Amino acid sequence: MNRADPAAVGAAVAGAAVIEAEGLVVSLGGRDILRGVSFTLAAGRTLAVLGPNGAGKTTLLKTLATLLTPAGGELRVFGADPRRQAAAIRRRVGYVGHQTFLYPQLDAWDNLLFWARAYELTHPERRVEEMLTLVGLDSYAREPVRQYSRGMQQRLTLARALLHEPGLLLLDEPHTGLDRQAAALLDRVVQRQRAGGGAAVLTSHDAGRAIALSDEVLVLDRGRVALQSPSAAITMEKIEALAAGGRTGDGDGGGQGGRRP
Amino acid sequence: MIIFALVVTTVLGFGCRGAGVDLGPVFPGLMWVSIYFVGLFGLGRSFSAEKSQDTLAGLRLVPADASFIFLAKLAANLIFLGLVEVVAVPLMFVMLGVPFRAPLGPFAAVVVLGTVGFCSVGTLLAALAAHTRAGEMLLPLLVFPIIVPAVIGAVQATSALLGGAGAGGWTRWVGLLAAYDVLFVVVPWLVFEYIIEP
Repeated sequence: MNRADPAAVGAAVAGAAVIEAEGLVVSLGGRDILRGVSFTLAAGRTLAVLGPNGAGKTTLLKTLATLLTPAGGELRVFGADPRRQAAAIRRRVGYVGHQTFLYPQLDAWDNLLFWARAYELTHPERRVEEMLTLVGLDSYAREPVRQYSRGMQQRLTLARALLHEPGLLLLDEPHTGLDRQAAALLDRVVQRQRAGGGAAVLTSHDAGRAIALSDEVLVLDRGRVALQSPSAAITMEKIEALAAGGRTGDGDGGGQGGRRP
Repeated sequence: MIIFALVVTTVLGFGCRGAGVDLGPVFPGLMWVSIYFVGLFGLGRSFSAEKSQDTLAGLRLVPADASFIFLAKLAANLIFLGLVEVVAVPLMFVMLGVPFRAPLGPFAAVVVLGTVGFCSVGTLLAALAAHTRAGEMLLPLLVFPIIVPAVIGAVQATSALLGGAGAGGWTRWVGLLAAYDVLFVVVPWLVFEYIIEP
């Protein structure tokens, strides 16, 4: 059981907004990467963020995880402003990025135990055991992480992100390097997150898979929202057109006909 | 690190003897040069464990003030350098044949204060250098200009103590070191979160 304080940051009641972004601007190295992104995500929903390389997907996820500070606009995660209540938000957010955030010289057990204690979990050893079993690494718990395959490291990274039972899961291209079994595990984790009333945001270059897992789709292009749509209404033609650098011409995602993912 | 400290001290000692220099007056400088060179080795590796998988970003995801990372790394650096000093400093006196005539308490306090200031500045700058490609080469260039007051204070206080000066001879240098330490523990603690944000 994690030690999140729902009173400090608004509890994720079903249907309540977990993320509210309005005109979000994020800069890196003096350059605006996100240029006025607006969207909301409710509890119990999953959002797929798509777009070509350089669109700002990773920057968006890092900002939601409080690793980056917005330069402009408004952002609230669980009702809290990341510029003032970052620590409270971090207690409710699990992040899987391009790097594993693992110590290669430690084994899986020690890695997860370190993070479990950092999150001040009440029964860290028990939670570590649960997570290792969930991701299928219990038999490899005492091997150094540097000896793990890419897929095994990604599983362990997922376990690390889930240790503290986050209400918001942020997954940046999580299927990269995973075999079918591990990819299926990841899909189950996302579905379980949604079923449990949590929210998830994932980015992926596999648009079809991401859309199939999500309730809503946000397509970014050069730091702006190019398309926002319920997943059920999206078509692959629109996604492919946007990936090629075009725009849909309409601001919403409602589409008629076309190939569905 | 202990062996390196003794090698540096011995080489410098031989050099001074060969030039006919009396080791007594120069010993404080030799001692602190050895300590700071050894310290730089340790500081350069402060954040090496966090480099390969961007674990430092992972630490920033923990729901706590990022300054805890600075305090934890500072504590680790202090412990390592402290252990080196506990072994190497007495051996320096023995190897260079310099008699120890200082009151132990004040001498230990000077060593502690000189080490805290060095480690504090070094830990902050090591975090800064960890983000750059030539981090380990850059670190000495960043550290040495800033620790000059600490070096002066530590060497002068050590020299006064070993030379048998009364309290008036070394307390002002201890005061300088203490003020330096307070400044360079508080300031890094306040700015660390901004240093490590990309």
